[in-house]
Amino acid sequence: MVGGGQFGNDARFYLSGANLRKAISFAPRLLTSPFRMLPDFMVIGFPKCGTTSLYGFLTKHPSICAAFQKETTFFTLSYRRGMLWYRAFFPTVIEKRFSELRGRKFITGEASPGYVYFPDIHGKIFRMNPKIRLIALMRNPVDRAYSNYMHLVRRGYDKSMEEAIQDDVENKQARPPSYNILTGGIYFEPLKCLLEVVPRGQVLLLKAEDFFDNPKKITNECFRFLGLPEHELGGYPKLNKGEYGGMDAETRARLEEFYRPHNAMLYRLVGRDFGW
Amino acid sequence: MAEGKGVVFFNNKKEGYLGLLADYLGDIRKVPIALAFLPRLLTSPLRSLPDFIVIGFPKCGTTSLYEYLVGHPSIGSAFGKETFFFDHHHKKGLFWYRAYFPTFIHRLFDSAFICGEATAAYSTHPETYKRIFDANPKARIIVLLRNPVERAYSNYRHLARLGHERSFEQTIDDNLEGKRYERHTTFHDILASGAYAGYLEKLFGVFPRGQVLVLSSDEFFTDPDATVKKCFSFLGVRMLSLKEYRKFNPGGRKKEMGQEAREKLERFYRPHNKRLYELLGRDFGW
Repeated sequence: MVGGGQFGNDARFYLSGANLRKAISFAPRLLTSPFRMLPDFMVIGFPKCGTTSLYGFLTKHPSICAAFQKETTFFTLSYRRGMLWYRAFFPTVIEKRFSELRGRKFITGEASPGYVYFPDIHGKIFRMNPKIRLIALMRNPVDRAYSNYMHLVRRGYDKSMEEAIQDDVENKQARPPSYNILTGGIYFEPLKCLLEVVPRGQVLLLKAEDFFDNPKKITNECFRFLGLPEHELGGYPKLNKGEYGGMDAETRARLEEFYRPHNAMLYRLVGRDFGW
Repeated sequence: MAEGKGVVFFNNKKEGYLGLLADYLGDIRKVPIALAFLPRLLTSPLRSLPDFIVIGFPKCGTTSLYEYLVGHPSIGSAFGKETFFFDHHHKKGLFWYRAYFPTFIHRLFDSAFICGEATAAYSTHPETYKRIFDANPKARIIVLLRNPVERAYSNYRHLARLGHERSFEQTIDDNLEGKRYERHTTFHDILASGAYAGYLEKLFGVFPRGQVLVLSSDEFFTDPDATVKKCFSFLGVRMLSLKEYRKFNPGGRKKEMGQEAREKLERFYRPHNKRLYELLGRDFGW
């Protein structure tokens, strides 16, 4: 009811008990929606690159208030419901005022990694809040593709990785871009569109491997980017983690070959060699 | 660019409307301007902020471009081409700034109506980009780039006309040494103003790429019609050709610059130009 996610159109999913409870707790938020904030920051990409962990860590900061759920998927699935619907996900301006009276900044944000693939959404986000800060995590596209595939397998997908890639090449699957195993790893195109619409100074582009190796450093970098003081968390546990074995060497070589030119363009755009 | 006047104006420390009125009345030539501005100030809430700003660079043809642009029936002109709001008058606030622009009445009759200004000094000021973005994040920015060597010389000639007494070579050396003149403004930094790459990198950090139009002055001088049409399509107004393209604010008869100075400048600008070509993905051939 509230979000949607992958099975957004499935009626059985809508009527499940957990979702019903969620809808009931969403109702009072919807009533107070005019008094609620719009996001100050967004983690907009990329899927399977550690956005859940990053968002989880960010919202531990005393100045950051989490949204009703991590992925609102508002701009992708429920944009027609309007900004009043969207505001319902965020804390009220009253909370912000009280926090500021105590001398503490108060910002909020969400993390929907699917947004980054849709150029029209970039414009909508910028028009909603021209000062919005966007964070994008990028992981080695080969690992990302495998992680994406394993995510689908956990949800009942039964083809092999090779077959899945072939289907994506032939565009047989017709999945939304965020579930596309192959093209989901082409970071250059969506980022180029994004930087046409949003100022470079308001976008933080991060290497996901850096984040996995040293979550503390990268989380603090995000805090600085959001204009907040640094904050050390008790622990940095990985969230939304998949358990799976290694990848077939041949498939890996094939994917590396495929992503090489796209990665080269990405390095030029970002101005940094990620070394994938 | 009325730099000399602007400088005198800003060195006195009076602030606020009364201070400004005193400034105007202090110079008897400004009384008619102040009188014409007063009704605009009173109707300021009915006026809109600019939709586009030609921010630079100085001596790159911004006056001509602006005059051509406001020749379009859907583009309203400001009260004077250069407002110097975001660099000098910023403390006077947006209420003051609105007074420069046309009222909303135009927008009732023409849905595509836009207005804008052209202050070339914005491009070289350290804080203007952020201020423009804060005032209107949807503003469209137009930048003209001319061969920096030519620009520097034109800049020098302009300074000389305003009473600058050093020679061209001396001025370059002064700039390299970081010497500052009495009543120094960014207009006196004839060397630094041509290092476009640094300024544009900063601009792209503040404004989205899609809201910035970078134009070549050389193309503009040889084919003004094509460049003006590029601007019209960028600003989203109806496409048309103007009847004539008269040159505005020309420098007059020119003495050629010395060969030695030219080589020195070319050496200075080479790395900056290279960075610029990489940034824009376009070779200007300077």
